[in-house]
Amino acid sequence: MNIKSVLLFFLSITGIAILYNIPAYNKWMYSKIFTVCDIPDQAQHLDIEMRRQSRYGYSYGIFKDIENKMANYPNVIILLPTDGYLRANKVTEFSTVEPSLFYYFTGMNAVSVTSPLVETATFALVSKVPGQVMLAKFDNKAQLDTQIKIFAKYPSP
Amino acid sequence: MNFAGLLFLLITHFLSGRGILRLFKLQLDPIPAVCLSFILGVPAVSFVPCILQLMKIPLAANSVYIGISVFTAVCCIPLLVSFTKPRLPKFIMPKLYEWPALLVLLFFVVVSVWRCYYMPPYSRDMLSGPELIAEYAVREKTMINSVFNIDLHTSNNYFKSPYVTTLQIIYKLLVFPFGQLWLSVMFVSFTTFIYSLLMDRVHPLIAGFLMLIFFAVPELFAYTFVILYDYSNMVLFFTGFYFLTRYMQNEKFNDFIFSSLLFGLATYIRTESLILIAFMSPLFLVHRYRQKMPLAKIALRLAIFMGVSIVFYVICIKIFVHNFVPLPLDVSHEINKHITDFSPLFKRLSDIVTVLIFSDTGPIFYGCFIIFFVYLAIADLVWPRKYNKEALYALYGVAVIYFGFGFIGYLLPLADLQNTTKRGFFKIIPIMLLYMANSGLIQRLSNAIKWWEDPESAPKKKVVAAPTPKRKLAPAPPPQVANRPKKR
Repeated sequence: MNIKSVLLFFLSITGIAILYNIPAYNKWMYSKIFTVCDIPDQAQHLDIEMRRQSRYGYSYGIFKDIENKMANYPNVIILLPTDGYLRANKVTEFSTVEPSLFYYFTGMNAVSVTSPLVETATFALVSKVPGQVMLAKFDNKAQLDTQIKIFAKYPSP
Repeated sequence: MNFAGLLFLLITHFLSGRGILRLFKLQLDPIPAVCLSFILGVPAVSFVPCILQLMKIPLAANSVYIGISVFTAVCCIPLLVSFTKPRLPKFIMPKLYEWPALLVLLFFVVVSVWRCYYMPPYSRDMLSGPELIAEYAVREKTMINSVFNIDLHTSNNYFKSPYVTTLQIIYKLLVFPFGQLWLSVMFVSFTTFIYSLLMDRVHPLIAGFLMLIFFAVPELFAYTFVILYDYSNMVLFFTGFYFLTRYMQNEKFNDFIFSSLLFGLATYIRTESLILIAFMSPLFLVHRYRQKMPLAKIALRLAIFMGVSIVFYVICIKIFVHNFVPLPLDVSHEINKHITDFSPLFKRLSDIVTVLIFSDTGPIFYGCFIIFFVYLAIADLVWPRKYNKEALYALYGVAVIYFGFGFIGYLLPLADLQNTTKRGFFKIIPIMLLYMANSGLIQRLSNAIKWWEDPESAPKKKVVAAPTPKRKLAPAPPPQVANRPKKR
């Protein structure tokens, strides 16, 4: 083997070692490459729904629960809370989404408090016990108006 | 995962791209030709669901299979008309010192492809627009589906090009519920293409090192597995730019037309690319003018160059978006109302430098890549101050992206700094990489390594003859004509 090739080989390894020891790259490698992408472990968990759950997080699980519970209700339109409202009620892990994302996750119609279609909501996702969310049905328009006012008090940050 | 479907798509991407490539009769080495075939084949096949939708054919697996087969067959006509035995790339075993960089690159490729396959689409811009439409198009067999009946007031992402939507529909139907793997096809093809460009210009050790810093642009690497428009747009914009620079050097019209097509496809993916392409046109206009090309001919070239991109813009907005999005599109309110006030332009140009690049978040977005480029450009200016044509063109390309995005931010206030400009700046990265490969300093370093490794490849030093004393030369004797047969 050519001695010059061996020297260049060591030069190459030294260059790579220096490059990935630059703080910006080193931090990136550990935070975004090694820790996030554990291929051997992920290869053991190939179930589609599990992968979605892992990627979209806790809120996605709540959305799927809502989808299951409301499967038998026709024409459901859910008024989604603002993040400000959720934090004010000590709901920390769950975050709200836009109506379009809610439809993507669940196939159910939703509106936000700023939506021009807000008056069409039939249910709301509310927090009656601190730290928890639940669905509440609107029996009349007054209840809907009250809920809109409550959500509007806590705009999303 | 449906491996047969994936194989079918890989073959159709390759064949359709290869057929289009043959139309241009470009002189390319086998490896770049294969890479370009895939790079062209992905956007080419993405048109199939649009055509099916326009023909009101339901978007089911069978119709998409048939549609893609027919489309590929049509694209293959140039291959059949001028059939030549395919040139297979010669496999050359990499040298020992190339392996460390190649293995690290391979590691990154595996990580990217795996994440693209394993994780579902995530970015908000996708889930509230193209991915949402694609998901329901698969369920309802039409791109004009129930999504447009829901509350969409928080997003305008459904007005974007159907490029991602259609590729997601194809891959969801034929390969896998998350789609996405088309992005890996683009990523692997482009990586190989750009590596082959670097190998042609610098020593393999330096080519490997440049590729590593190219991969280590955190934000860019993330978008090799997070589906969005920007990575594909960067790939097509850069290849368009590369073929434009080739045209400037070899003056082959085919390279020019091919460059226009690639820029057109980049416009189809992200329509604001049209502005950058307009900024790019002085590059060849001035060049042709200095070569004393007739003005009428220059004007014709400009019309072709911009015309192709405008056609793709019209296809995207006036045909596809107009027909597939049953909601009114009004872009007039997106344009800056105070067009005579230039302060937003200067602010954006300043913000790009101070907020996006030279800030605490700069290394999080772009690593040290842009900083390295700046230092290298300054060093080149001091010594050796030698620029080849490609380096100068690359510097112009860098200026186009910088000032172009300043202008886009000024013209379209919705094109914000932290999203549109940040991701749009991906286009500057491979152009900077092209400059690095042509930089005077790196060229010298590369040659030094080459000549040290193989002294015989070094240019031979001229042997300077010792000066001879001046003296009067004796008059040359008359030429002798010996043994000439006598005339009889």
